[in-house]
Amino acid sequence: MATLFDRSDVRPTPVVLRRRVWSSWWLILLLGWSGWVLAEPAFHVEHFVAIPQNNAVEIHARVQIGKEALLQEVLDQGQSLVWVIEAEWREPEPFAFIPGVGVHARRQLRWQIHYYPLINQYALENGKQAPMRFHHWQEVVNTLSHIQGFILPLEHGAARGRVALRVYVDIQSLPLPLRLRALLDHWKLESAWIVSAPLSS
Amino acid sequence: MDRQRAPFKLRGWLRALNAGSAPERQRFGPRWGALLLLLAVVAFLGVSFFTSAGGPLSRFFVPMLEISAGIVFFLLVLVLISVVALLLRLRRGEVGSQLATRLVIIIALLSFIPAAIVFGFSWQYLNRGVDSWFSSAVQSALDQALNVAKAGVDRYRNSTLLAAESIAQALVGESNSNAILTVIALRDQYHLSSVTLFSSDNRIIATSSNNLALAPRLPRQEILAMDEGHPTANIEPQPDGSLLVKALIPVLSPHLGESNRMLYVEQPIPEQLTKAAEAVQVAYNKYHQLMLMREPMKTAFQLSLAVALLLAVLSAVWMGLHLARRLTAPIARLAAGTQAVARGEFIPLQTIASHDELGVLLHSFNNMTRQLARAKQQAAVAQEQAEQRRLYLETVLGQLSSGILTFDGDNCLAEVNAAAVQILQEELPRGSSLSALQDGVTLEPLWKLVTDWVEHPRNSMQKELHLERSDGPQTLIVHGAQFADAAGSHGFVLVFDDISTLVSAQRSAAWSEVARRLAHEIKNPLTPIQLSAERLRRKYLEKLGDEGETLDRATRTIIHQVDALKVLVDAFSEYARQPQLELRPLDMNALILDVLDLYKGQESGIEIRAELGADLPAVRADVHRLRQILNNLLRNAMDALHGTSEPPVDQHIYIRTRLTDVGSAKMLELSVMDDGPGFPAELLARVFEPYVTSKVKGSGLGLAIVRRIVEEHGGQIIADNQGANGGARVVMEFPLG
Repeated sequence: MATLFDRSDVRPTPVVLRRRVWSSWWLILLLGWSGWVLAEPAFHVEHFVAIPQNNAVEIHARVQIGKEALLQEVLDQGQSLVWVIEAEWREPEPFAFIPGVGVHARRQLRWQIHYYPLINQYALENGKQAPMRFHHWQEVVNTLSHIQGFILPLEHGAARGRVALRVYVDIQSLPLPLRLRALLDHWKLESAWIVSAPLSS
Repeated sequence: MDRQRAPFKLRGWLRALNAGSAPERQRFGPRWGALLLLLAVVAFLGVSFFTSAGGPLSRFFVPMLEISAGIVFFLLVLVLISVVALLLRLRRGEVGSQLATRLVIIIALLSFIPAAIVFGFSWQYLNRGVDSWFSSAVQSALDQALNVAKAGVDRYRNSTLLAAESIAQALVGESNSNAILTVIALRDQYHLSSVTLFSSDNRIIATSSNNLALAPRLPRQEILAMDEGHPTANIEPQPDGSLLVKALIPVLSPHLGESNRMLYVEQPIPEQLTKAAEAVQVAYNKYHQLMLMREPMKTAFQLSLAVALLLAVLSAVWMGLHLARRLTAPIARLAAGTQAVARGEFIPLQTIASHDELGVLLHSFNNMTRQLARAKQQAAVAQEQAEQRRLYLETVLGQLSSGILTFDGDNCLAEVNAAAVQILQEELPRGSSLSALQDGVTLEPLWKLVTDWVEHPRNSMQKELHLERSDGPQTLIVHGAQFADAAGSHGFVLVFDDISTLVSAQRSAAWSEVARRLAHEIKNPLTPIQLSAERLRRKYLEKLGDEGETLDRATRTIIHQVDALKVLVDAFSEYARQPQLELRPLDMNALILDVLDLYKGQESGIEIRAELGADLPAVRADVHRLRQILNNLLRNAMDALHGTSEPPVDQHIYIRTRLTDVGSAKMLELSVMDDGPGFPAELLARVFEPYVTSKVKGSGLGLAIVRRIVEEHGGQIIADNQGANGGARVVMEFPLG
């Protein structure tokens, strides 16, 4: 029985067909792109505290490290990793959603993680401090999980705005094949940016 | 101006794109394809370069790989669009689509097969090559080597720890002052690099080192790392690459309440062992790194190979499509051109700037088209001329008074002119065969004559033929001639004239001559005869008395007969008279009314009605002759009406005048009709001939004289039985002006 809104005999117009074709293309592209984007980050920053100081912000945080086995496998196979702690001081500005816009200070702390099979030790080195050595992987994880007193210098006066923090393993420092593997296997050894509450001096 | 965009039709665009007929602004395929192809090649080369280059540039590998994949994807989409377009053309059976499809398939196969073979071999070689880097023996050897190195290093660590424990044991109970000597002595004894005794508050109590330049270092890290005060010995890599054994031993105090001292010992591992162990460690690490990168390396190379294969195949297919498009576009144009030629449209094709065979073919086709166009134009001109000639000939034939029939080689009627139809008084369908034409009765003598002539061919034929018509005999003079032209067509043509009028005129002329001679020969002796008869009567009738009755009757008969002969001779004289007309403008209606005045008052029982047209122009005529015409016709009509009943009752004679058009000429028509019995049918065709009459009395010259007078005035006369109630009617037409 035909109803008032029976559209079974209505054929789509060329304009509608064209829209459908283009919509299909965009959907395919979106799905392919989202496969990478929507992969879960391996690290999560928790308990993020930014304490304003004179011309600096002191940062404390806990990092929940996932894919430990993968990291240990890579290290045990003789491949060093670069652990990066990155903090930014951001102020609200137009177009702040664009990466880099509104960022007034940034600091990176890079730790190189080595494993020495000869002496069965893990070492954390940053080229400035004395290396930290660990006999057990879990000690390394515990050390990396705690960000204590990370100082973000502020060159432009009193702190306001927000501080953002993230940690990641620098994939670019890996050899080329491992970078490809990281890309294809969606390692995503990084955390999302965690933004603090608005700072107040 | 509101311009509406035409809806974009994907299928039409795809077909046009592949056929090379898409609008310029929509033909982004080749340009974008070439650009993408170039970008893909560059990206692939970049991937290959960054793959092989390593080092800092290798960070561009992944982006370049992603760019390559993206470009290859879009190239794939572009090629797929072109392939779909080609398939659509193939499905529609468009010209050139099959050739294009074959070309694309051949090129794709020619490129794919070698590329696939190379790809397969490379794949195999790559897998085997990478796998050949690794073996369990190597791995086992490296593990063993590392274990040996570990054992060597551990031996030093343990020996250092044992030495440190021995020194610590020796220091138990010794005072701080004595401990200095003990430390120095035992360090030398155990060949240690450095021995330092710390108090519980990290003060140095005693130290001994083979390097006096360096102050002893506080082992804070080691103390922190020491597990619950147990002796510990660690090996630490040094910045210079050497390995240093660090041992930390608590020196127990024998006195209760006194805190323990700590003995810190450093002993470098011998350089030879360190280098060997480091070399083993480096080799071990590299091997395991390679093992870690084994599959990713394969994947990287496989991706590069796949991209290369895809690039090669897609490039080949795209170039095949492009080539097919370039090749088939002129063919499609040619096909469209031939179809246009088939439709009679000789439009030159758009040429291409090519000197290859297709270019020459297009050029030749255009030449042919131009020549065909010229030939068609010439043929059209010739046809037009022929048509004009035919129309001219037809017009001429139509204007001819002679009837013309042409027959083709199959004896079928080809052409008939209007005069033929008029003369033969019969519609003759073109294409009728001669045998079919013989069905009629009237024309049977004609067709029989023609058939005899055709069956016994002679070049020409001329015959006089008499046809019996319902309105009298018809005399035709028939000419026949065979023809055969250079084109091979042959047939014959019949030309005939209706000479009935001519025959009639000849007869009339003959009668005039006879009448003139009769009038001349008879009239002269009549008067003497009459005079002689009257003299005989005067001289002998009275003398003979009663016996003169015979003479009286004889002379009276002679006199009466001579009078009759005179009347007859006068009629002959009138008939044979040479035309001597005094033409003056004449009011026909006035003349008619004047003549009718003479007939008024006669108690004949016949009513003469004049139905005269108004405003008739004057006609140039001889008033006496026209009066004679009217009298003759009225007398004939009265005689005819008298013959129907005695006396005539309610009989009528009508005289009518009016203007008529005969062609472009104005004529004055004069009709005299009655409602009597009409002309006898057998005499109707000959009523104007002398001595043709239905009356018992009369010379038979009345109507002959009337026709003569009418013809002398340039007019025409006909007689029929279309008067009132089928009565006789005589219609005359006199020219005006």
